[in-house]
Amino acid sequence: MNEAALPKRKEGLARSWVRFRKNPLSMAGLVFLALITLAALLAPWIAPYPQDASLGVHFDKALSPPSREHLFGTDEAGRDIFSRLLFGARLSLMLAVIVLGISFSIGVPLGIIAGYYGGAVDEIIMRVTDVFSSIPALVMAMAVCVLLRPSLENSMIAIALVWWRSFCRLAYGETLSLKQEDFVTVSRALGSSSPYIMFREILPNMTSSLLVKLTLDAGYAILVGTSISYLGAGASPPTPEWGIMVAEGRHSLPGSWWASLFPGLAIFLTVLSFNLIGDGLRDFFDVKVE
Amino acid sequence: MRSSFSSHLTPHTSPAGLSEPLLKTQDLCKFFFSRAWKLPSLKPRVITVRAVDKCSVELNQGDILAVVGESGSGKTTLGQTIARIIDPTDGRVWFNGREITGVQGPDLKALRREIQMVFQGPGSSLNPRHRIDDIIALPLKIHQDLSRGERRERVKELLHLVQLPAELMPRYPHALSGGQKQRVGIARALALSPKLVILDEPTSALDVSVQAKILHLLKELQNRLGLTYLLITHNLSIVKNFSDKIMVMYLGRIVEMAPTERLFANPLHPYTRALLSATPVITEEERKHIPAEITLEGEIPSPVNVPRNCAFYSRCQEKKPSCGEANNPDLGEAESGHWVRCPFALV
Amino acid sequence: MRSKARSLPWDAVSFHSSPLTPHRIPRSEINLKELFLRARDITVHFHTLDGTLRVLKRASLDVYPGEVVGIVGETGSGKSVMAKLILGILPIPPGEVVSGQILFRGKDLLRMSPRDRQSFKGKVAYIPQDPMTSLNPVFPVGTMLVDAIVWKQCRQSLFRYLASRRFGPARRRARRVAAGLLDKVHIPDPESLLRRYPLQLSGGMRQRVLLAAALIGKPELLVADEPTTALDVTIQKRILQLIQEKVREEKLSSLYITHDLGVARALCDRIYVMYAGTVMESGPAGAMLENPLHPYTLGLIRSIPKLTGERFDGIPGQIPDYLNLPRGCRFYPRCGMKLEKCTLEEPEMREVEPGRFVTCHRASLKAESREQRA
Repeated sequence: MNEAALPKRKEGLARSWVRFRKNPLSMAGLVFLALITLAALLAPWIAPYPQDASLGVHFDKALSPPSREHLFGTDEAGRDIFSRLLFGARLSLMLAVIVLGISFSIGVPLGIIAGYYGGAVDEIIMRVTDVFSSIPALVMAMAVCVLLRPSLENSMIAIALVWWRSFCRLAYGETLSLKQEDFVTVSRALGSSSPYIMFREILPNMTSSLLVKLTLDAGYAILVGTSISYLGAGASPPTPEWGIMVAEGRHSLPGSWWASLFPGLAIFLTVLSFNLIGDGLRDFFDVKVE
Repeated sequence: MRSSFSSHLTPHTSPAGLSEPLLKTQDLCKFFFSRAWKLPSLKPRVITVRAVDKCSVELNQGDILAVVGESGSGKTTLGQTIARIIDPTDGRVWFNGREITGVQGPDLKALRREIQMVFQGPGSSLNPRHRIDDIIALPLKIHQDLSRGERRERVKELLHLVQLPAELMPRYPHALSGGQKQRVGIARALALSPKLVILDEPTSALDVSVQAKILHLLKELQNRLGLTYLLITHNLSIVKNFSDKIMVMYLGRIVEMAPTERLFANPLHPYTRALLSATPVITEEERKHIPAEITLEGEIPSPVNVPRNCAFYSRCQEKKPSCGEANNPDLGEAESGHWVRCPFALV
Repeated sequence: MRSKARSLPWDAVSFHSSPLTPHRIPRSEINLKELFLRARDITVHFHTLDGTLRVLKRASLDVYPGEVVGIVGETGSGKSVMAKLILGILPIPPGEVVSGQILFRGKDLLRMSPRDRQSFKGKVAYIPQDPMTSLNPVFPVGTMLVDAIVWKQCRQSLFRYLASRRFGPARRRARRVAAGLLDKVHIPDPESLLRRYPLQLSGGMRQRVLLAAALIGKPELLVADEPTTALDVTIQKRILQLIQEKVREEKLSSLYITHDLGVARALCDRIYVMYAGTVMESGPAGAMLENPLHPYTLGLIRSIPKLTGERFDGIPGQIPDYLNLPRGCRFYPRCGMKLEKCTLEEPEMREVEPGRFVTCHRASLKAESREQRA
């Protein structure tokens, strides 16, 4: 059978990995993110002073500069900043996952449904999205937080409530263009049900843009989350959340610079790595070099 | 008791003496409507695109009918309307003796098993995120109650039918060549053993050396499975070698219809002749089969707001003054089985 | 000015009187002495993640002034690579010109100074494949044409160009030139067309606009990359006639890339048939298509359904994987007439008959034996 020969090429995942590897900045982002994730996962075991993450206070050692015993120094309650950062990584990453998970699950299906059906359904869903889009994310999240009791969990809910709109928009736009494709017409001609077409034909074709968005948004979500906590509407002491750590350390600036700097640096580097990975992914999906 | 698979492959032989055509349409129309506002008037103007305008077609079992035309002719829309991908605006359709004009719901679903379509552009009709075996199995999943193993077997059978190796099953479309993708499309269309297959430009996007193979495959499948084809194309060379009957369309209307031999021996409508003249030929021998040199000026008019008179009037090189005033002529029978929509061709 | 040219070897075939090509340039006007463009032994590699693709292998091509040369091939034949290389738009890297030269009036295009390259580019016009996507949709057609004309007038000096934007006369003159060009391609009412947007035009109209744009600045070489593929057949015929007309009027040489042998027959004086990056056969269009000498050309012609109703067959097999090319002749896995030699070494291009060049062992051997007998 002479139709049999297929060219030998690395397929799928292996090929994608090789291409992604070529971008040094994205690789740097990936490496750093991997480190942070590891740190977060192993925090209870690698933190030198795990008790400092919650209740340990040692006022005698308050605000001591970085040293061999305390890598990043101690804060105003004498707690080891390094250990707290490790535990804070857990919280931030968890926030990103939960927030994005919720907003993705709400926004994407709504966007696909609106795009696919059009008409009244489209109008209703998109107008609701418009309403939500008119309010700045941070302000809205803060308002919700203050209405409910300020806490880390509530801040996550608040952010998710605000975040779903951009997923909705993205899914909507992609659906509008994808539903014109021939394979959708074929599917409909064969008699596929609408849910099948929406979620098994159209959705798999937007994974690349969704993935890029998820990655870039993860960074931004962490930024919003830490900002809310910084402003006092999110996590409360003694939670070792990066945002409140910056807030707490603020009073001791500029003398005891380490109390604010290191949490701030942690936020910065984490968000940066998500951005780098996201940009790399976007370039990677964009270039159709084959 | 589940029927064995070999029965799917037995040709649909019509009982002797069946005189009824497999497919029959009467004045089939498909119009698209849109509204346009032109300020300062607040009342919208309705724009009608008469994509298919009163087409009456008869197709017998085992025939190959070619629908020929350029862009805007309505040939693709006609195919999609017959396949019920879009619903007709007007007119009546019969299939296998039963009227199917307004059919909906479970009857429509049953109809889909009988009429299938192979799309143009093999790349776009296959979902790039689905595997080949899932693509071919889709109609089986929707319409038949088979177990996963049985489906797998049927997919293998179909791949064999279109001369593709079973190794392709777990692959994705991007790994396949154009010809292979088109074969997958054909396999999918044959999954439910339809009676009528509508082929929309099945070879236009393919390389020349692959086109011939696909056409031969289609011919072979027709013989083996007793299929009936409606071939939509713009390529007259293919049509000459492939079809039994030809229908030439222009701006949604049939302008000429005849058995293949007759149409090429004696093209009556000025548009048909222009189309033949424009077909690029390779050898001098071929050249002899083309009527006089005709080059049409002007653009193909858009099917929006088609004029009342003969649709071809604007570009016809043999037009008479009366053509501009008279209404759109009717189809007339010039000789047995040879219909043409031009009063001057009938004399 | 008619120069005395020696009779070309293929004068024997009088195809210029064929009804197919009533507008072809008479043979006597083609100037042999001044070979316009000569590409010799071009080998190009593409470096990709999967390996090195040897996309062109010792491809050679000649263009004489005033002729229309066709490059015919299927997908993956390398014809676009060849055209892009001549135009200077082949991306390098990942492309790499391993060897070969393209001589234009004695200077090698591949090793030219940037200034010479610019001057060459000024003499070449390009008509792209898809008229639908080749025009910027946000500007009226006139803007694009006027811009190109003004740029050429400013002799490609950026300063002059920017200055001209402020001063009316240059633009107005350019607009008149643009209207003139549109008139040349038989567009009715050119003035109003200049104001229209590309999306308002049909495919045929857009292609005419692109043809008009190609004629700006009096080019000497017209490179057309399948310009009529996306058009309807009756429109294609008109555009082909138009191209022929303009080529004759403006005394252009033309490189016409297509996959359609029928179009090549109608338009071209000579044809190069490419397969898997090599030129398999070349010769005068009529002679070659009536009597092909290479098995691939023969197979290609046989694959096309004909109005004569004769049998048509495909060519068995597939185009080779550029990562995994066969050892000998690149076509041998699909060849019905292969010899032992074909599986071992790659054939060279030889002139087996006057004016007919073939890259095939069998054809070469046949020619040799004929010579020996003579």
